Amino acid sequence: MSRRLLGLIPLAALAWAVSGTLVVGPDEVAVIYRFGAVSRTAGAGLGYRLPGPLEWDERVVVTASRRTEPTVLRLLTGDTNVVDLEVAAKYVVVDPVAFSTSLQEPAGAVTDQTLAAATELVATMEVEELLTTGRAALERGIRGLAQRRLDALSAGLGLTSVEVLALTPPSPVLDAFNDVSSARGDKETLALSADAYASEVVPDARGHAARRVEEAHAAASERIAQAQADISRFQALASAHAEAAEATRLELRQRSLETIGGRVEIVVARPETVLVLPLPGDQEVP
Amino acid sequence: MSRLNVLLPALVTLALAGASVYTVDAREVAVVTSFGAVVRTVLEPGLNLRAPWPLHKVHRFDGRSRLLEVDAIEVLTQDKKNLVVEAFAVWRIQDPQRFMEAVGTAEVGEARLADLTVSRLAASLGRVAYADLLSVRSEADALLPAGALDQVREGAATRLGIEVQELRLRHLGLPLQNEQSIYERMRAERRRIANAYRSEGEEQAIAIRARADRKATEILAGADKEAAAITAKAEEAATRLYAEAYSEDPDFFRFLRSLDAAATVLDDGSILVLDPQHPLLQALTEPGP
Repeated sequence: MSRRLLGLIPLAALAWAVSGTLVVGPDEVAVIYRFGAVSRTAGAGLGYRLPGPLEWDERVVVTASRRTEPTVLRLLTGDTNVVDLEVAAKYVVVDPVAFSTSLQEPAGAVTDQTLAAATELVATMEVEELLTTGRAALERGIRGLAQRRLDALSAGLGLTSVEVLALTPPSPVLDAFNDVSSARGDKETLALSADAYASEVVPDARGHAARRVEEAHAAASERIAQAQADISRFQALASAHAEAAEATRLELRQRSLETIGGRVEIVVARPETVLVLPLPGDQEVP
Repeated sequence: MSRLNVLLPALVTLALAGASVYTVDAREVAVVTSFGAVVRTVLEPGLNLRAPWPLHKVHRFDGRSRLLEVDAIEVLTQDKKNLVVEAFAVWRIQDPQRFMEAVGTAEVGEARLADLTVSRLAASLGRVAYADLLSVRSEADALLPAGALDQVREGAATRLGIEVQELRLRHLGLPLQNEQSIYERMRAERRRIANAYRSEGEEQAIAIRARADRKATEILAGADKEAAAITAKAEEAATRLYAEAYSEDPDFFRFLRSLDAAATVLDDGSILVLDPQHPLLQALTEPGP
């Protein structure tokens, strides 16, 4: 019986030795401890460590992206307003040894550091900036601050992103904030409609101006043409006059009289017998 | 029988050897006691020797950093502002012997540290003005009154054997009963901003319109000036043409001009008095030569 027992010893020793075989998954790193101290790490594939209790290992999933639970906070801003902020962080394990030895609750640490950084940064920013342009800066700021602090704790974690999922005024004052946005829109609308007015009035004036100048040009051409016509007539009559002065004058006189006679009343009288009576409304008697 | 003689002492030796060593993991710290008295503390991981039980007893503690999340507390700042703060601390066992003697277990340690943190934090926040709290001094103690971290650190180290690595606010807000007044103020402030936007918009629009009107007026005035110049120039040219033509026979021009003037002056309803001697009438009444 004791012989059989002795025969088992090499077998048991073999089984014990084989128990040190490691099969490390593709997304894992095995951190190997020898008598408690970190000895080395083993990557994906088949590996070996001394069997327990000489060495043991802890598996750390390194490739997976981890995510904190989104958390909503009602925070005070630098100008004593209040905003509702929802924030979440994504992170990966960058140092498996540090990750496995330094923090008891790495996920909680990421959450707390993210919230602390958010609280601190929001307390330095003004509400207007936060709600309009400050969001990206806030995300960057939180990530930088939280990462530095996690590094100081040797967390072995890398924040890949911090997302501000929501950043709004609290619902009781939401309408007041919306009114500011619509006022901002109104301001733009007013300026735009004034611009539209300007872009109508100025070209319109330009059109009118061009028309006035063109009309002046036309009137000027007409004036010159009229003068030239008058001059031609004069020159024609003058040349007739030069040939037969008396006849021309008589002819012209008679023609005028004919024209005039058609519309005026003609009275034949000796000049000395005419008495001109004042017409009603005339003030002077010639 | 002789084999058993060999095997038995071997097994006993092995068991004794096993009972005389212990390992401390990189994640642990340990305290070795002998009948209650501390023999040594172990901070470094590795293999260590000990006297077998019951002579020596090994107490292990988790040596990693851990989180303490303190419940929200309401504080009153020096300038009488109510605030609600939520703090968290990162801590680890610094002195296992003191920790074991003063605290014993992690749960108790956490509770004691929480009490310490709350009392120190509330006291130091009461001595600081709200504005000073917000003015960030450094990343290390942002939002914490100066000295608060040091006080908690010192108390935890000396009394609990705990190292406080970090102390931060993970929330800074207002108590519910104060929110209403803040909301009122926020609303008033937003109203002011909205009104400012609207009046700025109107101001801008009026300026744009006035500028456009002025420009239009200027354009039209410029055109009027140009048109007047064109008219004047044409008038001058026509006058010069007349003068040139008429100077060729001024006497005949005067005659023609008077005829035209008479035709213009005598309009409908005028009465023309003719002397019976007038050539026209003579032609009517007298037989021709």
